[in-house]
Amino acid sequence: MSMREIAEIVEDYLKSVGRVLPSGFETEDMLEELEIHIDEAFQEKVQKNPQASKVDLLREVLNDLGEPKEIAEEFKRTGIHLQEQEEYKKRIFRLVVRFIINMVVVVAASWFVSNLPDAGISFYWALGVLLVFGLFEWFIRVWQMREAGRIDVQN
Amino acid sequence: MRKAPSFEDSWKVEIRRGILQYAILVIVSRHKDDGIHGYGIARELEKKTDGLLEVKEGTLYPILHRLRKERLLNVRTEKSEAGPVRKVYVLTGDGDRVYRELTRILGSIYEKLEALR
Repeated sequence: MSMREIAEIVEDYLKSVGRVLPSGFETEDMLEELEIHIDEAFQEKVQKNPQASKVDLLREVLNDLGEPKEIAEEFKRTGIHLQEQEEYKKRIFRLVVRFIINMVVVVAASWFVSNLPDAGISFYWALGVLLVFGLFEWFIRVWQMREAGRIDVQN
Repeated sequence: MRKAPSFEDSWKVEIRRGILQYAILVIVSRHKDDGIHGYGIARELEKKTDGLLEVKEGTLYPILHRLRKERLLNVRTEKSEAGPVRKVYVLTGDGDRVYRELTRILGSIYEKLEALR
């Protein structure tokens, strides 16, 4: 049996696990770990039984891991997906609130600047400039959040 | 028709579920300095408990993630011998505290049950 066929069996297994888990960061993370687990368990079994059929050894590894359904049940039991959904909702809520506040501040600031005596700045010009600054600030914030997420995963 | 599990089977499942989280904390605490990866935890569980906990290895990962979410375990990445980067689990300060507390509670439960017999 070729390594490609072995890889296909592993891929099929991981796909079936992925199908029964809710999509999200936790699931992707767990699938990665399962893949490494399969790889290490398979290598160890091959080393111990070099004469045995590789596909049988791989089936043993997958059997030890359990049915995708069993993994999904444990996942559900731990409530990770619920926490994740909750966190996602909170994050979306915070983003929407922040966006609304930013818009109010930008419009108010543009109105204030355009009404300054002798300023000579139109409302729309001020609005445009402030929106560009707002967008720039938003990009920096997203970048910082991504960096923070990366650090959290590694620590 | 599928036969309903016996009383002792259901009881075993319930007990095992609770014990498993503690068993993982015990194993990780024994690897305080270097940490241990998921596959290593599965191997130790099997060897040290003689398969008593009858764990399907894949079900360890949701538990590990839960313990991470509870901030009892931390994870860092390490290159495995086979090549891919793998996650190594270590106990956090909180994890160590919980592990000690659970050890105390379990010891006390065991002691009281012995007295009951």
